[in-house]
Amino acid sequence: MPKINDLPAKTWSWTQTGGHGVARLATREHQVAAGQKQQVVQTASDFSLPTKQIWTVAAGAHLQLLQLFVRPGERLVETVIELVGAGASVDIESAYALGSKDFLSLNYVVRVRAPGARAVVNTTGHMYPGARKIWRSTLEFEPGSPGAAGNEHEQVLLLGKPAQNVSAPLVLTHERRVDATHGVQVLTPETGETAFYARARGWTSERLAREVARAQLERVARMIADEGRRARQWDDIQGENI
Amino acid sequence: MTPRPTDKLDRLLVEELSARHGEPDWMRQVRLQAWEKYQSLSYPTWGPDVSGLDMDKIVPYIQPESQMATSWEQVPPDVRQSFAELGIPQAEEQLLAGVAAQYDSEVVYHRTQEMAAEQGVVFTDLTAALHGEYEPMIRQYFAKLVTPGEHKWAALHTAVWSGGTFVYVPPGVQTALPLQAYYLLNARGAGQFEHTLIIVDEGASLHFIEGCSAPRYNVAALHAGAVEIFVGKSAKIRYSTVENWSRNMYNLNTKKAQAAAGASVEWVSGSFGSMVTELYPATILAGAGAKMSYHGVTLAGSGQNLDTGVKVVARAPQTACTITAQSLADGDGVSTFRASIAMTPEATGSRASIDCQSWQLADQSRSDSIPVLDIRAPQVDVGYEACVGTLDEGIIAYLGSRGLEREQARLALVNGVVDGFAKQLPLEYAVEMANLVTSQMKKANAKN
Repeated sequence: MPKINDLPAKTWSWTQTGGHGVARLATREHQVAAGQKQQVVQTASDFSLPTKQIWTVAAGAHLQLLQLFVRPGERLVETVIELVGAGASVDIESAYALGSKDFLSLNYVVRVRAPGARAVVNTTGHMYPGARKIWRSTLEFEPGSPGAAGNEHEQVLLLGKPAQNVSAPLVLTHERRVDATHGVQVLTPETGETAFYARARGWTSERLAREVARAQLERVARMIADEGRRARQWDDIQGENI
Repeated sequence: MTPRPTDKLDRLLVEELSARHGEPDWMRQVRLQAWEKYQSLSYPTWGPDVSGLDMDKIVPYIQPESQMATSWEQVPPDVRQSFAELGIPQAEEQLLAGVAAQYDSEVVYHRTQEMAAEQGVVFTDLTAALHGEYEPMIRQYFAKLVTPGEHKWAALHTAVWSGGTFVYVPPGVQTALPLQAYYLLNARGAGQFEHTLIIVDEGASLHFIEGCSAPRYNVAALHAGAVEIFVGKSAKIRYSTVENWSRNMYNLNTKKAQAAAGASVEWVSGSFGSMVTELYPATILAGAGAKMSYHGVTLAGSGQNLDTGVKVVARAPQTACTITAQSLADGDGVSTFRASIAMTPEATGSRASIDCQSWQLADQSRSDSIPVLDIRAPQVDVGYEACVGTLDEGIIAYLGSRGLEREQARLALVNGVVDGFAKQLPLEYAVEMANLVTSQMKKANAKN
């Protein structure tokens, strides 16, 4: 039974040393130089230890971070993006497929510190019975970031009763001239217009669930620039017993 | 008992309050247990800064100079004048089924219109109800939703509560007109801890309006009231609040409702006053098909930190909740919207729709949106959407081209934002709210 009084703090960093009861936290720092465009693909195997990764994105640079967590086991990942230069941008696209043996804790923090910066955090995923997930995303617009914009969104497809399913999208704005949106959608194969349409076309709920779940993962895999890597990820997804 | 100054918050005060009100022993025990809990709990650290609140300087209880009255002529002139300036007697005459007016620590005026009384509606101050036929009912429900263990302010409230109202609406009774309670905290550096207990029995319906204000002093004041609402099967309540505490007030109120099968709870909440507010009306959807809706507006001007929101726990099937929140921050004000939506595994087939819009009206203002969704039920449909921005300069320019000054244009846009909320209030309260918004915007513009 969730506690009615569980209201989260405004703090943006929660994977502190010892957080989630872990003994060690791996920390990595990366930079995206001014004007550069970089795509990074990460899967569960990149985070064998609870990890905090910090990306600093300079002026005019763009970081696209693609993350896939397919039956990952226990994974705790905190991703901090510092948009420090004018026009810096980040696009985080992630997807997960979680079963009863999986616990995924994702914490995205985007600190927008420069004018005209852009941030997108978009996560889709599905959860089988007994799965556990905490998804938290923070867009923090600091003074001096006029003209910045951001969007964070999570779509969760429930394929049974999850053991833990928490979504917490935060927007903290200290700068007036920004635009930010955020949202969470929790749905099941039986609800929504898509379900009605699918049934009208003769699909069963089970088929709809499979197609939607697979599409969530394919959405991210399709974005991988490297053909070989994309093909491998695609095969992995098709091979999953979704 | 020899009277003594009631300006010290201690266990002796708790005992004296109980004795002064001639309460049953069970209530005395509830108070004392709450006092122990208050001593043991720490202050919450996740919300606004309340370090400016020195509990040693808060006067927890002020003995009124007169007995409770049932006509305004019996109320002391200065007190009557205070409420007249707020329009309470006029509103009572024109559009209310009953009024309870609390001045500092006690209810000083109370009257139920004949029509409501004939329907069997019970509307009285809580202390009086403890000495009547409804004492067993109060014992059954008091502090069962807002429990002392909830947080430190709830524990303090349960220990030193005074004043407040008890409402019981019998089965099937549809109250035609609203009941209202108005809280005025007039004393300097005082605390107000009124307790509102409302029971709407099966199939009944009630609209309850709460208003509050206080003159401004240069020392802190504290409002730590509690509202507990029990809504029976297929019953309905709308609880409307227009909060206009003074800017020295710490408004740390706790409100909670529980809805049985098929019941409906509507919160209509406007937060415009106080220096610091922590207010999150909570609803437990305990029966199949229970529903709740929340429509809140918060306008934080300069020097204000208004942290408001809503909490829902759905623990039965086929429940529904609809939340609409509008949050504005002007000057150097801080406006925070928090939502906590929880659906237990039993909430199969439940729906939730949350929509929050936040505007920052000045460069120094701050607006935060902090929702948490904990969804563990199958076959649900949950959607949360929010956006943060500022007033559209294009529209302001357009209104300027039509002859409006910039401040007028901004005010017009802000009034447009709160219009949906205002429509849910009786006309007189909508007018009061519009005046509050205008006043807030003028203060902010003057500082800018």
